[in-house]
Amino acid sequence: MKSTFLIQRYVPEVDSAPHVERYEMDLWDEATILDGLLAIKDQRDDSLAFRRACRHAICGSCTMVVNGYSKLVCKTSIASEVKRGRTELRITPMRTMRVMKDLIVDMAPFWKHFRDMEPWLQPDPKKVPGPNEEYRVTPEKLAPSRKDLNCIQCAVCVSDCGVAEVDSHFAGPMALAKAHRFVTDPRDSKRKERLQALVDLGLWDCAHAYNCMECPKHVDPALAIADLRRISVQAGITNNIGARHSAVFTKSVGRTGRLDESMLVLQTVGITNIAGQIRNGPQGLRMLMKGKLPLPMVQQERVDNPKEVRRIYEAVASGEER
Amino acid sequence: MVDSGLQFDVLVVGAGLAGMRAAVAAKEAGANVAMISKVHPMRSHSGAAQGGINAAVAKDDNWENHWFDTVKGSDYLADQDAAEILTRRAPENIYELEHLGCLFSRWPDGRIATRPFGGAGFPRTCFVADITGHVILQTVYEQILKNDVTVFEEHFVPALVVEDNICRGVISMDLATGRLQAIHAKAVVFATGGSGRVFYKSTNSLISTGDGVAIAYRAGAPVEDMEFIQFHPTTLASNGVLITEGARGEGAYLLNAAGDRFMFKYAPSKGELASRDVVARAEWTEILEGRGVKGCVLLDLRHLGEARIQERLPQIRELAIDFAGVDPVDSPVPIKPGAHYTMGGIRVDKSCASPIQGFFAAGECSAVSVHGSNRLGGNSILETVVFGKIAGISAAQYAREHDYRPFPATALQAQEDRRAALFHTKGTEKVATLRDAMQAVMNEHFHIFRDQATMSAGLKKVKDLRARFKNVGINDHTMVFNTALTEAYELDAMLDLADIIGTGALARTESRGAHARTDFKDRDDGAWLKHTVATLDTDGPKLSYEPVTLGKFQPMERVY
Repeated sequence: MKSTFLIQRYVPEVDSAPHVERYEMDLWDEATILDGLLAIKDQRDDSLAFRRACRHAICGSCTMVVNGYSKLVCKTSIASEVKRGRTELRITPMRTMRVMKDLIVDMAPFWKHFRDMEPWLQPDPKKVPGPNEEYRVTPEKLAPSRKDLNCIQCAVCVSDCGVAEVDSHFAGPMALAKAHRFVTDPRDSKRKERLQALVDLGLWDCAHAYNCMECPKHVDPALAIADLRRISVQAGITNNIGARHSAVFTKSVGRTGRLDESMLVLQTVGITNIAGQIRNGPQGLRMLMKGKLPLPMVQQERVDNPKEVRRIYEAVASGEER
Repeated sequence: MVDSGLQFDVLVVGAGLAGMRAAVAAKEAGANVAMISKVHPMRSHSGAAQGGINAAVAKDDNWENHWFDTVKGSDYLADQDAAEILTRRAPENIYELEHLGCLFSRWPDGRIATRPFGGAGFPRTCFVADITGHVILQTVYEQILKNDVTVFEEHFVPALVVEDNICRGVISMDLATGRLQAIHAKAVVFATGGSGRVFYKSTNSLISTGDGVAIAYRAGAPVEDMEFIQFHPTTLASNGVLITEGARGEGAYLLNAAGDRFMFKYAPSKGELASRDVVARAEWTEILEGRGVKGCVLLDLRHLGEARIQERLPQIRELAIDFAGVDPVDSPVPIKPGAHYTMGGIRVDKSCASPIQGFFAAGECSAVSVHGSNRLGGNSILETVVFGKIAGISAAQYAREHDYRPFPATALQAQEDRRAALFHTKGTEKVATLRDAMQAVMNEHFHIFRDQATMSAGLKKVKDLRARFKNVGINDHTMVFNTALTEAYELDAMLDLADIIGTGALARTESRGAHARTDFKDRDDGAWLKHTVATLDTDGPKLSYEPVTLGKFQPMERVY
């Protein structure tokens, strides 16, 4: 099968800026994109630099952007791209990270976010079993963190995350899934402390683009983030912008079927938070004047059939109980 | 003190399970520790271990049965004192991993579950679905972070520095900058993994190139039993990717073209769950005798049902779909034996000490020897945690009892010169060409069945490739992530290992474990119940032999 690779190249000692090199390859039908890169390195140009190791999606080394989407290239066949209608394979380094050479990026910030989660079990020392026994944990108790264990830190999710792209402080989907793994571990004793710390690490900064649901290992960090938020609120960690925003949003829509955007802002910041209100005031006023914001506390018009909205709320609530 | 200013009590090279376990143990023992790895620790090949880790944790099991199964599996070439440590300490190591956070799969009552594995008399393989190595790797890396171990990620070690048979440290190359530097250490632990990439379509990662074994050998360390290469019975034909023995542990069948479960012909009582060498030979015999399917036999999981496959073997289901185009829920998976595990390695005693003072080794790069001539499935990650920890403790103790010894001034320059030579040569041989040729030679001449004529021809080809390597040239002469350079170093190492494997195999005129000769079909305990030891001579390996530590279990005929 003939295929065209358009690879972004950049050698810091030689190039002032990245450029694209074209390689025409003729590979076997089942070849993966990694097979293609290895063939290019072996046959065309040994200077092409990329990370790779296991070649079967368990080491997490070879994430790159292929025709616009971050992929583990060992797991992505050339044929699958052709099937998507991509006749050429445009390969660029991961996004949100600094390029060091060709397709290799600096992952130090990524690993810092991982480290920030204090990702190790922190049990109650009094409850650690003796040296010849395990913690009794039923399969049901293991279930909530099962998907998190699949994470190989390949960074596909972070590379495709819109928030990570603009906010380097955001812990990012990978690290939050790792946090979820410990928060839901029945042996861990620091659940509340972890949840409290997550507020500052970006628990509420996810903007629900759901790009991280395209996880090659089915970790689906967006669900882990949603679950962490739920657990966090249940644990009473509500005195923060994210939790308040969520609560006010839910209440407003539940009442009228519409969002009272002005009250959302006022209450999210905190009615008694004078400093916060003053900070937001000028922008709020400008928005009001331009007609971008309704007046706060003006009776909102209800949607035509608010019962439908209530039914959705009830369904969600009863679903949680099941 | 060396120019770089880098000085550590204990320096661990390799950051897979054995290396990280050693680093944590040395740190806990109070040593000043650093760990070097040519990849980020989480990229290590330990993470690819799928099916499980053996330990007699079940009520009705006991470690002495595990000990016996291990020794029998080794075809009596394991050192029984080392195998005793492995199996006796297995349960406490499992519980320790569990207490550190490893989420082993459980029985409904909340206890750690076990599954049957090959060559074992009892279901004693603990597991996390089919991602056991991955989850344990995460757990041990978490401890590296918790204990603040200094890690040099993406640093390649081209040389171990030894003078007067005393280890002084290593030379390392920072891959991101190309900078070579001396790292001074009282004790060095190698945990650099296997050498699977010497063979074609190995299950091993592209990084499993055995550099650690080769550079230790060049520094004077003896290398043991390298002729014993495990061919795993179930690997995907397309790219050699592993399908766990856990599949058969969960009940999968092996079928030939006629649909017969052929294993009972070769292993009347254990069938598919015989030892790996036995199953690999049976499969290869079926294929050679024309009962294969396009060079493969079939692994049939269909009768397990989708729910159990999804619960216990989700990763291998996905691998089969991705790389063989087959969903095991609906169709049997074509599989064949593939090079998988290096039983041999750097010769160490049961404290993981090599004959070079201050130099230790653990895990797949070492031969302690718990696997002898054939490793049991589920014993490899067990070895990494049990002996990784022992190596760390031993190295820390050595560092307490010894002072730094001077680092030879010429060692760093020698590596600068070696690289400069590779950059300046007009060599016309390509690394990829020689590597592909070597892998083909090894598969063809040192495969599952071996004989004098085939191996002699193969060894000659290996030596030719070794000679051609002198004329190798690379095009990339930059410093930042020069992966062409590291691949050249890796090939250099693998050619040494191919020579050692071939020389040892040719000399051993018997069949034992994974070393099966058609011209010497029987095990010969009178002549060959001994370890092969290779040391570097002027022009390749020189062989000598050392006795096996026997003990409770007298060698018997091995049937499954």
